[in-house]
Amino acid sequence: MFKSAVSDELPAEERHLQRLQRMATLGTLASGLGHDLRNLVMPVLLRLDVVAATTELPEKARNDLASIRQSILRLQRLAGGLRLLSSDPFDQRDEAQLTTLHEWWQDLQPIVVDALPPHSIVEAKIGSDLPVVAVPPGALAQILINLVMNSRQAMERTTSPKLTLTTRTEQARVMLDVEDNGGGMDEETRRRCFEPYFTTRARGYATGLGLSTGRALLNRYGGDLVLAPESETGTVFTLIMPVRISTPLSENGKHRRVRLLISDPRQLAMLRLLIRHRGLEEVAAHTTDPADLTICDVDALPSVIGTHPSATTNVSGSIIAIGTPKTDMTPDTVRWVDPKDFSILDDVLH
Amino acid sequence: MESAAFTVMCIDDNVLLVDALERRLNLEPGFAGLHRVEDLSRSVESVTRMNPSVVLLDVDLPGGVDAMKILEQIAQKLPDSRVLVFTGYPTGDLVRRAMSHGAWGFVSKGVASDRLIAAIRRVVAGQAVIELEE
Repeated sequence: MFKSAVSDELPAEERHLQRLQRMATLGTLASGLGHDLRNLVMPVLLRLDVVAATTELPEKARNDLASIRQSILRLQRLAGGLRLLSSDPFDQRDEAQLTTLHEWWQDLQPIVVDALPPHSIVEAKIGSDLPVVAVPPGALAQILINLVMNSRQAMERTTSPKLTLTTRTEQARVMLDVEDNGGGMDEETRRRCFEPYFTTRARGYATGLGLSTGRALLNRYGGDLVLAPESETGTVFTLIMPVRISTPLSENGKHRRVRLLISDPRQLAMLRLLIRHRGLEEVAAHTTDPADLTICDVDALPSVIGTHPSATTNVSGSIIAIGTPKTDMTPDTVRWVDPKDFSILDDVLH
Repeated sequence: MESAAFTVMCIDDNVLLVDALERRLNLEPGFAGLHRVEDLSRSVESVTRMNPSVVLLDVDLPGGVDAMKILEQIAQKLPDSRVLVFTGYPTGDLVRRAMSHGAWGFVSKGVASDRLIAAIRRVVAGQAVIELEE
């Protein structure tokens, strides 16, 4: 009580700062809780594996074990959701992250259900075949939770509160409609809802930054957050997300054929992982089969560019050499990559 | 399937996890023992001495221990070592940093236990691995 009285006397900017500080503290707490949960869940799962491997276990005990495993996996998902909520959405280091919405929703669903009034119905139509979107999962989670908190307030007096999430694709974008049945917003709220610091909630319970931050975040990734035309029963916000850009080759359904001439076993293993991950095809190292791309190390480069007497490979495509450029032997067609920076290769193979 | 013998070293302060992992790995064909690093400040020395098939390195170590530094030192001193990085805070940036510091693999603590075991087996088999929950 005393705190509120003091807070009311503070200038508006300072109050906002206090609220942001509180949100940041909650984020840190959520992150720590999620991390501790994960540290505890993994040993439980491993022990369950051990018990389940016991051959003389009665059928009933096996069923009990399976149920325990399901609960623990849900707990693990919940911990994952907490992590998503506590990540800094403006963190530059997460720029490259992509989201598979179907799996993202599996993580977030328990948190969304808990955030709504009891007995609320959450209906999600999020297809498993949607394209991957080019927005980090943590940013999307925070945008969605902000919308859900608004819906929660709007549905406080609704007899059968219901939140519906529906996805659709349109050209190179995925739309996620988030609809509640909370009666909708009045004209002024609809007009001003994206204004920073505009809120209909009591002071101290909201920053008034949720929608403006959400829109700014999606804009940053080439998407948008928009308010759909008024619906009969409530409010619909649409998250517009750009899909991951695919290369022209993969759009044509062709697999890029990659030849690897790498002696370092770890580098070779990493590259094979990238190739598999991208759905590309590896061409056997020392054959004459054509490849669209050859990735080699410095030692193998002479055989690739044909300056070595035993050059056997058929290089019809691009060449990437891993290591430090050797100007005296390198044609312009060779692109050099720092052996420590695999992110560059990831982009090349994308 | 033929299973070559392999050993695992855990650089992790979470005793509950290490105990459970040892019990679980005992079910795996070829598993020949788990080594624990009791003193995190001597991790690199322990790896050099024991030369395990796989090192499971938790990057969320307490007391300001820099796991990336440990990883880099292991990679420098023992270029053939295979380190599998394990974390509760997986981010794209951390994956890239771990891989550029010499890791063979990266596993999130948010994956199911069978994926953790499979990741260990794959690194033993000479494959790189990245197991995130998505």
